Amino acid sequence: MTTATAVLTEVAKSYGSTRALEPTSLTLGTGVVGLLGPNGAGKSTLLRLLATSMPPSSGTIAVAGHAVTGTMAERTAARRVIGYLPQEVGFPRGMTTFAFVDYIAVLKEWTDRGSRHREVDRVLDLVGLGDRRTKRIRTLSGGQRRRLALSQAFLGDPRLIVLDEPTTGLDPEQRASLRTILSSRAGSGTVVVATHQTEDVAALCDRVIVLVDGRVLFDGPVGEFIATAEGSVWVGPSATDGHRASWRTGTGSIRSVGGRPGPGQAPTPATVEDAYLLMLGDRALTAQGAVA
Amino acid sequence: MTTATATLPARAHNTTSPGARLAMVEIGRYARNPLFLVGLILTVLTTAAPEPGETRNSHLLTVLIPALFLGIFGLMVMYQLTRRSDRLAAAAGSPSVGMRTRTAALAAAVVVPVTAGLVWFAWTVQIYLGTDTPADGLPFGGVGDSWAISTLFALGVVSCAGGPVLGLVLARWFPRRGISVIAVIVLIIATVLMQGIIEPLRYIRVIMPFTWFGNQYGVEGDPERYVILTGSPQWYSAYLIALCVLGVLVALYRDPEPPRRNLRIALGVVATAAMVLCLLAMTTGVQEVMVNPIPSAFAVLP
Repeated sequence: MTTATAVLTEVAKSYGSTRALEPTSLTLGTGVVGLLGPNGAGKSTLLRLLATSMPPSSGTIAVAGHAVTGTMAERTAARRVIGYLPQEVGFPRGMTTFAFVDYIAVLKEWTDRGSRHREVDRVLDLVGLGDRRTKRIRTLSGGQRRRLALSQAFLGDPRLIVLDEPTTGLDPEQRASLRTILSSRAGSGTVVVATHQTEDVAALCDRVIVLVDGRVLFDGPVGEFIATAEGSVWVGPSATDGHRASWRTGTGSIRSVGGRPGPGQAPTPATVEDAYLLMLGDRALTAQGAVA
Repeated sequence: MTTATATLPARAHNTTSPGARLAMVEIGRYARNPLFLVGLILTVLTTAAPEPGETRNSHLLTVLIPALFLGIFGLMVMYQLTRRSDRLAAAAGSPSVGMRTRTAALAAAVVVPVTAGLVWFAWTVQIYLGTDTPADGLPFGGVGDSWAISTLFALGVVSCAGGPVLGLVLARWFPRRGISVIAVIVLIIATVLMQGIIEPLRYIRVIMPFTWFGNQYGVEGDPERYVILTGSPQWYSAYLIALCVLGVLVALYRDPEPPRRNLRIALGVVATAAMVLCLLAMTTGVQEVMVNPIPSAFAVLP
């Protein structure tokens, strides 16, 4: 029997008169959960609520059995088991990478200097920055800074890791390395990843949640999510009629998501991206039009 | 739902509390801050050793040295440290050590400039007590060493805490680019206006966190004549300390997370105490402005 790492019950969030998250109930067990959704869908809001960075407008959140929405002691107890990577990180550029993570380790109650320094070295090695520990942050590349920000989320092997677009700025090799790290955590804890990279979800996640306009549109295994698009993806010499999205592939054929197939068009296995585009519906068309 | 345990995670296996550990970190960061070190060097360089034949007057006026180099510089140092701490905490989202503990740890770092101020105070007091009071200087009349030493303590030592505490309050409530520089300029202008130069403000000048109790204000025909202003520097020291405590509480109050009830009560108590102490500083001690009967060397004699 698996124990839920986080339980959200009818959690909603508003910023003034703007509703960012409609009442939402979720139970997060062990494994990697992918959070998909267009910009402004409420992904970051949901993650910040999970990470206790802000209180919900209504509803309750419990992490590792501690009520985030309860007393300060409960909230602090919950924070001890959470590692969080925000979408944007403002670095003190004059600091060294080691000093950056070391200070955050102090904020995470690593009071013993020796064990703290060993832990900081461990997480820097984990993200491949072990040889950059004495470098000033201003000398790091964008990808290295992203990895540095990521490293602090792994301090103390937290039971719940919440990552807001962790792969932004990472090259393919670094992304593969991150997948390895996150998948190794899947057996013992919960990792929630908000991303626009659908291939990351396909490669890494056991479960996917699609959030649109502050509402959960889909919540289930990745396989089930992909299955929603099976039979709706076509490859042929031209785009299908009424397609949600279509593009010319490297082989010269046109891949169409949704729509009615015409002559010469053959069904092809769906991907997470196809399912996502279909689920977004007209928003996908709008997005494609905007790109065009 | 389980009840939250107050115990720390297994990793924090030594006896130091997270707040105390963070305070030590902030003290170290303050002590290594380049602006603080520049201020410290300038304080040492300008706090000269006594010269033969030197009188007490100049030592009473040297309070400007720590007030400027440790207090005003400290405002900017503390603002920088607080903003940096905020950025680091934001990078981790919501670490278990919250904003209130971080604020308290930053406030603890005030021990660095205050220690430097106390060293300056000890040095200056022993020089002051070891030199003569000239008949045409400060203090005179019924005012003695207690008045002079209290003045040195209030303006020389407490200002070393007051500047950084103000920096902490600004960083917590008005975190804007350039705000610390603007605050320094405003503070200097306001302080200059409230030094007792302007006659109607002489009585209420003690509400300012830096003001003279005696100086070369001059009289007609003697622009350098020493004058002692009204008020009690002893109560003024207590008032400034209360202002510093109030500043820390105001900074702590910025954290919106409950509970804040005790903090509100403490704010009310300390604010009331500060007002009472300010009134005492205003209404006790020297009651009338006193002019040294001995003319200065600049007097235009008939």
